[in-house]
Amino acid sequence: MHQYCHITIQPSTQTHISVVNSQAKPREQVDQELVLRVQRGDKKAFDLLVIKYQHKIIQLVNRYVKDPSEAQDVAQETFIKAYKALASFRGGSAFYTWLYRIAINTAKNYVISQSHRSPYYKLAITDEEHLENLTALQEPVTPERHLMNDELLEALKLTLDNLPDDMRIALMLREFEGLSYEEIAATMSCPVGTVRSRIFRARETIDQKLSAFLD
Amino acid sequence: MTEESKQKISQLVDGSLNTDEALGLLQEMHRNPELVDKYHRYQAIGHALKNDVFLSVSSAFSARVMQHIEASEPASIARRPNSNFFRLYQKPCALAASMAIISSLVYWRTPNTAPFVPLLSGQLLLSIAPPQQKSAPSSPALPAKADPQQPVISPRIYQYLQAHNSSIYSTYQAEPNQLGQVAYSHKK
Repeated sequence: MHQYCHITIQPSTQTHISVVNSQAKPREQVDQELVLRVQRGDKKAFDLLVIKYQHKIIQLVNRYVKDPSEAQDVAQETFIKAYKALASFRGGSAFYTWLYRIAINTAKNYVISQSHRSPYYKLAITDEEHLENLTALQEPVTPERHLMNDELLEALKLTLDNLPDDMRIALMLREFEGLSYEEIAATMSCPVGTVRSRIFRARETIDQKLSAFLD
Repeated sequence: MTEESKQKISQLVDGSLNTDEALGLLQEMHRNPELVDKYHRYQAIGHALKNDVFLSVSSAFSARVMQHIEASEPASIARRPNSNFFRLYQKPCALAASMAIISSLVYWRTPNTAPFVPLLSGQLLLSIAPPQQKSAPSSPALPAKADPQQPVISPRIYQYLQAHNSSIYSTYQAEPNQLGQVAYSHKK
């Protein structure tokens, strides 16, 4: 059974802001540690960075390159470029910010190169600004893939609607509002551990429902 | 896959694990592809909620990346100290190194080691005074007084260079005895 707690919306306070800042730290510390290990020659550490960020990078590239397999190829190229350039990475910015820039540039270059080859990319590219709005340049998604995506989304929304309120609200505050666990705990007037558990339970329930489609 | 591992994966998605826990979990994920799949699915759920697109990523993706890296670059990328310095000054460094090697060879091959004199032109050689010879009765007449400002070179080198210096013929400074001396030295 889920723990009982009051769900009340409270105005954010100064303490919440400091919590957000301290929350961002461990993530960057993990990256810094892994980057250092790679720079010392530990390739396995880079594998961990790939595992950690592959989904985000593919997701990012997918905004530019709609075809999933092509998006994965571009993401792969991004990681290879990052690995080769990592020796010169001095940590002036966060690792993900640096990786993000490489991914954007690689995706843009890919789209430009494809615009000369594929009929799908034949729209005129006159300057860099056009690349910011690339949806028209992306390869169309196949009807089968579209249908699959629609079915998955429908199942996802149905499962989300059927979740207990406390789980659903915790997940939505996290995913839509981007609140930290501490902020959600303050908003829902319950301990951080409870928030952690609710978000995990919500994700796991959705994943169980979707596995029927994905397996 | 334990419930605890799954909850930690959920926390990793949200970036709320501390450094040690995150590193430990990532290492566990490196060994267990099931955990990687779970991590991607949790991320995909969040992405689908926000963007209405369900993006599934294969757990073999990182393996493919690493395979490609291994194939394209077998050597380690470990940071080399001052690599930029050498890249910037590669040519001057190479030139300086080769000049140092040549000069040390010249110095080493000279029997009566004298201070190094750059052998750049015939004109310069003419202006160099050789040292006083200690024992060589048959040696030719050399300039009697050496300029103290000028560096001193070995008499044999001086003779050899004088013999091969074409400018002395045009200035009528040639000394045939020196040529004979060089020939004598070679025979010896």
